[in-house]
Amino acid sequence: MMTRHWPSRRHAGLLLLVLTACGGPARPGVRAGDLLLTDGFAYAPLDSAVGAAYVTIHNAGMAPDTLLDLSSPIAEGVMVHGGDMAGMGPAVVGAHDSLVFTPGGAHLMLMNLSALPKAGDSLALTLRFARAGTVTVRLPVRPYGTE
Amino acid sequence: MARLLTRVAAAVLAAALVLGTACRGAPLRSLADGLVLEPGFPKPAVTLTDTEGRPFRLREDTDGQAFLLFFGYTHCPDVCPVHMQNIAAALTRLPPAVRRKVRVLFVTTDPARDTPAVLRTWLDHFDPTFVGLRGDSVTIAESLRQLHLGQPVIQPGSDDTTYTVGHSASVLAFSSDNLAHVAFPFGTRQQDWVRNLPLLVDP
Repeated sequence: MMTRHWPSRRHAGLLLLVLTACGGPARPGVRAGDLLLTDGFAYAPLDSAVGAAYVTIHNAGMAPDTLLDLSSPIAEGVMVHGGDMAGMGPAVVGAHDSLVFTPGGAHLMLMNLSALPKAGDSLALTLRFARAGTVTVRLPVRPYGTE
Repeated sequence: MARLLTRVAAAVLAAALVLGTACRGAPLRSLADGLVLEPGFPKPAVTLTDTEGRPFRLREDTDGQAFLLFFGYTHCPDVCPVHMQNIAAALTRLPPAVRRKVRVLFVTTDPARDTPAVLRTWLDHFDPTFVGLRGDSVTIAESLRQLHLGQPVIQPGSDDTTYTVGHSASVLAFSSDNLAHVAFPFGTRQQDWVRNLPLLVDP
């Protein structure tokens, strides 16, 4: 008979879901299949050349998922940049793993903006995953700088 | 870029550790929130060009002045604008006597896209007194080498205009003795600058 230790990697995923659903104040996030998108924001762009957006993608599923495509109505294109994702091959979020985009690390680059959202506005970002499908999040827009 | 930043941070930290911290004198060296560089890094003897097209001799034209030196580029997603915004905001919170004495020099690692006009417009978002400097790639590479900062790493984009440039995330703080004694990493907040800049100009 196979013995499973608890919590196993599988349970860790379930735990994440449970904690997310019930733990204290609900963590703001958007669900897409096994994925949970949290901590999203964008910086208020200084000019139309480039903008930066961030999101953390948690995968509570048993299979890896791949971020295939990104878009935003205010950008001509959006791509994954930086971190270990040099060359912008598909960004993979492993099973029971997280893919983190954060300032100073990897980011989502918005190119050739048709609008300049200001701090306090929000910005729509659509992500298309191989398994979880397409999901749109609204990211709060923050000014550059930290108190 | 994270990998590069880690490597640069590790190199600066290693340099600081290897070189030792024997002589702690000026307040900035002992109280600074950044990485202490001992002995301090001298300025590279290079000539750059400011956004008005005038030559800027990094060593001679800053002689005896306190200043912050950062290498970055205007298409930079976060590290550069966050540093610039934090420094600019901190300066507005400091007494004029301190503010007057701190120069901020921004050297582009992407002279192809950062024309003098682009650089000037971008810096004006933060503070019109910030000095924008350009140089050819050999001069920039040599400056970075002498300052123990990582070389620019071009990461291609979808076309010729969307590449990113990996670069050091540290701001070097030079004191009136013409040496950089502290490297402030990405993550330095406005309140950190408010605490540290007075020590830089009045050690």
